[in-house]
Amino acid sequence: MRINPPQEDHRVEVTVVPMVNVVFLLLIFFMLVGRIVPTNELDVSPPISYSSQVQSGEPIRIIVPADGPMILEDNEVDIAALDQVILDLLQQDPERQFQIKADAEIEANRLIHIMEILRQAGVRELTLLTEHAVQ
Amino acid sequence: MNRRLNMALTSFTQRIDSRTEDAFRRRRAMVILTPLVDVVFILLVFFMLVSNFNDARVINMLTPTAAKGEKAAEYLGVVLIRIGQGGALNISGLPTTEVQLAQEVAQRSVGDTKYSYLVQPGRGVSLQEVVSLLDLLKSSGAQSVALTRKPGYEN
Repeated sequence: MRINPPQEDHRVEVTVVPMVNVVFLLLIFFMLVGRIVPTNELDVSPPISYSSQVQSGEPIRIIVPADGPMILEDNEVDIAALDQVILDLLQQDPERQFQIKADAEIEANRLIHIMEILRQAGVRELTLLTEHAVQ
Repeated sequence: MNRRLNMALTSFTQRIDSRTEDAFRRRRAMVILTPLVDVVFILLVFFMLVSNFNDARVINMLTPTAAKGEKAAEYLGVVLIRIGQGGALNISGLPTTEVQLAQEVAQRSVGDTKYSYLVQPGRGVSLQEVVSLLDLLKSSGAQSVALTRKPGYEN
């Protein structure tokens, strides 16, 4: 009967394999759970709400930071010029959806002013981005 | 002398050969795994840095009917709710608290009676306070809630 000599090779692999397993699991976790979104250079933290509605479609996003001008599609927009920009966008597609991402600390009246401009320009679908509150 | 040196040299090189072969054989098992682990680690770091766990939701601010100004007649009336600095609430001109407001809205939402609510934030009220008030109204049964500014209020 022949007995195989113990193989040293195994010992080297055994230390690596469980680690690779764990790393693979972590990789799969992050791939499934995380979403890849373009990072925002502006520090805007949306208000917290219990709303369970999820955005449908691909809206045009208007970012309203706590200080500084608002941003529409990567361009700074002055409040006085907003209606013209919106009208131009609606001319291309009247059913365009809009979404406001506003900082929770801005004055509510500032947001209402922007909403009034959008409504007067003829925007039909407008949502406010919120962060889901932990129940 | 020369021959002895030659023999010693040969045995030495043989020993070195066998050693490197051993080392090579031992390393071969890892060589398959190491680049894979490298790539997996890079992928892991990439996904950890890039992924975003923020749970983004939205609130509808302008329903299609509100945009066209229709359906207002379906509601029995419009109730004005004002919110001032520090969260001071006021319904139809009367001061109220969050609990009372929730009860009143719940009473008004029973059966077919439908009221439309108009929220008017005062000067200095933050968006978060208004969104929390909208949450309260929605959870109490309000179906139509709109935001408004004081007439003539310019920002």
